Amino acid sequence: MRAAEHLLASGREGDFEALLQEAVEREQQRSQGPPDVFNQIQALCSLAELKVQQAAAERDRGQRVILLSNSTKLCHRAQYLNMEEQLPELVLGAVALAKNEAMVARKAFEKAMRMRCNGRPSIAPHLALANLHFNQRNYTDALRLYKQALRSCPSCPPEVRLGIAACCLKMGNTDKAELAYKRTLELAPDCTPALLGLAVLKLHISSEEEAFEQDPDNPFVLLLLAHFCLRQGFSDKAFQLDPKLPLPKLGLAQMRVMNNEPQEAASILESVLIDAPQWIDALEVLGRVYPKTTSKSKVVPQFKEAAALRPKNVGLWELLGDLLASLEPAGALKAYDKAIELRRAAAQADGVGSSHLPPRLLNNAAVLHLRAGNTDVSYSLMTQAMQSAARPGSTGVNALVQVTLGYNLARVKEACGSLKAAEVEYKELLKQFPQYGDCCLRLACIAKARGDTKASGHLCLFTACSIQEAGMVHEQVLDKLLEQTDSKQEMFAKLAMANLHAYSAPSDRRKEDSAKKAEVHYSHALELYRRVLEKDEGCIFAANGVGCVLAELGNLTAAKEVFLQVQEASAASDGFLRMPDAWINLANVYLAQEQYTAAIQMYKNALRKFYDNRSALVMLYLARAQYDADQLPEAKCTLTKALHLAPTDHKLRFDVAVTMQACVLEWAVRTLQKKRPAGDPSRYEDFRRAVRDLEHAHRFFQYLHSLGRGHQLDTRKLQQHINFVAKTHGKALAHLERAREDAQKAAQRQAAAQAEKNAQETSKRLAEERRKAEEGVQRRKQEEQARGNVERLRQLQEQWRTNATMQKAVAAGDATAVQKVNNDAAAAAVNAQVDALFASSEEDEDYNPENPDDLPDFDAGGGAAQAGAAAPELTAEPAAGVAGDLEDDFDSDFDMDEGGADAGAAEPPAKRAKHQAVLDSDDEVE
Amino acid sequence: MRLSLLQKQESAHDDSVWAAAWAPTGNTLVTGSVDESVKLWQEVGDTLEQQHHLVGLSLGVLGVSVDSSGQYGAASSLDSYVTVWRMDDYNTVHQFTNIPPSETWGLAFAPSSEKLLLAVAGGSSNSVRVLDVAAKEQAAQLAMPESADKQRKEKFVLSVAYSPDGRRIAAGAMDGTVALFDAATGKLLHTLGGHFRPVRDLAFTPDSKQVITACDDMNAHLYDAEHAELIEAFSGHESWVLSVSPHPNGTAFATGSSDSKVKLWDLQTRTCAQTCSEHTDQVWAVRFRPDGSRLVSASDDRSVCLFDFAS
Repeated sequence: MRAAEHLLASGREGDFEALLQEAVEREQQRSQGPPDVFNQIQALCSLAELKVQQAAAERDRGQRVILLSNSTKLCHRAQYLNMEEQLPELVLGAVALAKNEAMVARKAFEKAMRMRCNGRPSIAPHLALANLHFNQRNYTDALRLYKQALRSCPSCPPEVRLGIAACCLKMGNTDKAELAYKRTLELAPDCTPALLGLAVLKLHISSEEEAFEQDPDNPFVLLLLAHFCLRQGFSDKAFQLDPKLPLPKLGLAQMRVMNNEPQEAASILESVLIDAPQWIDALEVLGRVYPKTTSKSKVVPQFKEAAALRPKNVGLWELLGDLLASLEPAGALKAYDKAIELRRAAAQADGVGSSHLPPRLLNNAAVLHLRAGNTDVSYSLMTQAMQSAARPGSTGVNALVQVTLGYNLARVKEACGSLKAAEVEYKELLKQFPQYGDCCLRLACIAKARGDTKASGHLCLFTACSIQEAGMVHEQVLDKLLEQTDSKQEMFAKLAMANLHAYSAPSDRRKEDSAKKAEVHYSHALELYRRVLEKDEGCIFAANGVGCVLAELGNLTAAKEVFLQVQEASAASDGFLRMPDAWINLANVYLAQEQYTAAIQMYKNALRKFYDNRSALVMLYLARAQYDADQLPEAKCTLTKALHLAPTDHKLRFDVAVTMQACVLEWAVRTLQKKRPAGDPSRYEDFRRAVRDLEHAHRFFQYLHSLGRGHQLDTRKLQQHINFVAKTHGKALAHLERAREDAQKAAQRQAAAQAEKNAQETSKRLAEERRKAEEGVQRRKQEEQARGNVERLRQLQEQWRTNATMQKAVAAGDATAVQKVNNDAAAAAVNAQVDALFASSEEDEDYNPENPDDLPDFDAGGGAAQAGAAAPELTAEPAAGVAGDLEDDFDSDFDMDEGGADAGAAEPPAKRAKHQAVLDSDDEVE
Repeated sequence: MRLSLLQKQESAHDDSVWAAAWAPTGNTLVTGSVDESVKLWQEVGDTLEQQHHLVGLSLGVLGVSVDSSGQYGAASSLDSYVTVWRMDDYNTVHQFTNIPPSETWGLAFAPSSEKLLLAVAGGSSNSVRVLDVAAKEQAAQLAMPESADKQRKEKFVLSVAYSPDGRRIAAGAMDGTVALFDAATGKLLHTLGGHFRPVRDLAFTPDSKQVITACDDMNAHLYDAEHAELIEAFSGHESWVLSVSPHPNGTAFATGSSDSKVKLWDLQTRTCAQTCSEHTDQVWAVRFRPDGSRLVSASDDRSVCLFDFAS
């Protein structure tokens, strides 16, 4: 046995085991003489204890179980030798501990306490039990046991005092703890744990370090403290000795962390990582430091690599998620998902449900999923987080965290459309915490979504932070904001200020002074955007603003470039940065550059992607593009759909009418170019349709005009339209009449043809009759001749002559009728041509193109007008000549709030930025 | 209760389908579209077959309805005309053309009464018109309540419904006002509060005692029609609720929404029983067949879906 102890002391575990095995076997074989029971028990128990230690070190689950069961068997054998012996029971307790069965272990230790060790009392079970209590945070019991042990054995090893000290420390009795530590050190001057404890104690008293208080059970924080304390006196020196050595640097960094200088700590750690890349300890410390600093992480790639190299390290993935959350949400989400997956697999392996996953991780992942727009996933994660937090014994869940979780769950429910449930939960939270501004804000948002602006307004006042009134934010308020130092707010304020400038630039720049004013505003805006971009080059809101200003200043190509980049950036963010404005603005630029197909496509995509196909405003833009691209039926259809969504929008109704009017004009031109044969029966139908469209247009214009001042449309313009449509309608009616006549004449001609046919038949019949008559005459003549009466012959000859004249007359009559029909048809065709020119040959100068007689010119004139009109809001150069007049009437009439188009697009970023801010305040459990 | 898809009629119209209505008997379905036409369908062996195509309804069809005898169909179009036709020979009975523009929207035939009455949501006239089809004239005009509330600005009546017993008319407006009228006297009985966004569809439950509304605030509300009380708000759609249809046995109702979903709600448990994602664009109309065994949904994606309903 003694030899065995030596072997153990010298670290030769293998030999130790072998020797013990041999001792055990030998004892068994030795049958004569009084058996040395205690020795045998000691050997067995030592072997068993060794197995427990091996099991504790063993990673493989199966192997561990085998080792532990072997150990149990050995203990049972020892117990068999002497039922009163303490040692086997102690080891059994250790086995139970290794199996993580605290209750069983406690029972074993308590049983052992009542036994004796080789007939003598022993404090070993006391200590074991005390340890157990300590680990279960049952410090009072632990302390009692330690004291008991000390009392019964004053000469016990210093560890007992250490235990007492630790208990005192844990119980907050720092004075006693200090005394105990000091006493321990007196007995054993080089006892590291005592030193450590003392250091911790000192630190605890002197600086009241938050991290330690907050999370005293986190082994990492303890480790950190240990590192720090160990090097407290040395790291500075060590660093001076060898500035390249990473370990002292890490110590230094940790000290900085302790001193609440995260910025310095981060920079030291970064330099450490340059010397020793991928050093996991440093990375982990850094990962925890970063959230406290404002700087951007330079080592994110290293983190990613480290995580990729250790795909099983849950903590690292979580850390990576935390780190990326603010920089690269898509990446963070992936990291969190990975961590959850790992945890879930582990939980499954342990045979517990996924509710055992840490609520913090679930919550953070849920928040990110919500931001990515995956409401369903977010909801299920959030529910799990709540379950997990509600589970007794889950770590790190205090009342505050519960509140945050509750808020987030309500937020997710709101996003899922369960507004009622969300509202109830927000109100519940507000009842508990009347100062919870976010809840108020969300309630206001719900009320606003419901359209209840009154309630929303009240709530907004309540929170003193209204989202809706963002556009009205006074410059003074913004100035005040700018004075504040917080960088995030500063950025926001700058952005809002820039938007305000861009917004307040007068859209009508025909006058010189307003043009100047606009220029000043735009240059201010650009400068502010530029400054924001300097700070945060990825700020797509600012970039979008730059694009808007560029477009307003007429630099379309550059604007297009910017918008394209913004669009790309938002697409690359996996749905985290939604920027429909960039799409709309890009489409606006396409429209201004007359790239209609691209513009139309862009509007359509934006509508589908961002607006559920239900934004009347974007549909209005789309219709404008279609109108300019000469896709009039499509434009009409788009406008109809928009009107269906927003029936009270007078602008839409006006545009529908304008489009119908244009439809008729276009149709008229096309019909003339086709030169259909006169009397085409479909022509009449077309005319009827055109007239009907005109009637509708007229009705719409009349209606809008009758509304008076309520519609924000130009009354003069409306009156012009009414006059024009009325005149056109009059002409069209006349024309319709003519077309009807035309059709009638065609019918008449058909009738005439029929008559002719009839006449021919008649003449045929007549001829037949005549022939018959002739025959008769001849027969009679023959008879007469036979009679030889000359006088009768002369009379008959006379009669025959009359017949001939009659025949001639019939033939002549036919000819005139045919000719007359032909003439009429030709006249109708000419009339039709002239009349279909009603649009172009209109006397009113406003509608008079250059050359009313030249048809192709009308078409070209129209084209020029449309081309010129596409850009007015941006170039603002009055198109010259008649085309300009036309533009005035048809194109800028296409009312889409030209000035508002871009300003409107420029405004949402502010709103969105605010929204972003709101989202950001979706607290994550820290 | 469960809905199962029997048929998805792709390209039922050339463009968005906005309206649908079943004839009281004979499994005839009427659909209206922005393609300026109305189609009549016959359900034969679980599929819809097109029977007739009525064209020339300018600017698109806003609403369709079939009267309780099944003899007449009516459609309102965006040009503010109301067209009534015979269901058997498809000939137009009358076209009301003298209503000013923007003063028609949804419409509903009165349940069996002496006269053939048609209620039309009056759009910007802020009223409900009751048209006498046989006399070809307006029988009554019911004015919506004046609201002192400043946030209710958009006076535009979008939807109208008759109670099955014929005693009540309900109407919903752009500003969320829902009004309840006595059908016989035209007297305003109640205003049902709670909505502030456009109420694009509404319907009475089969017992005529409750009203269900579909609103842009993403909710469907259930009101007690006699006491003007909000009983329940059903939330779950992720966008505007555009259409609502109660099941004839009174245990469920269906909604269609801008989120492209059709949802089935259990009126007993007051929860969502099922969500159908057959459509790819806004669902403008859902309608249970009067015998309760079928549901039809019409969408912007040009399709019409036919569902079997099992309780």
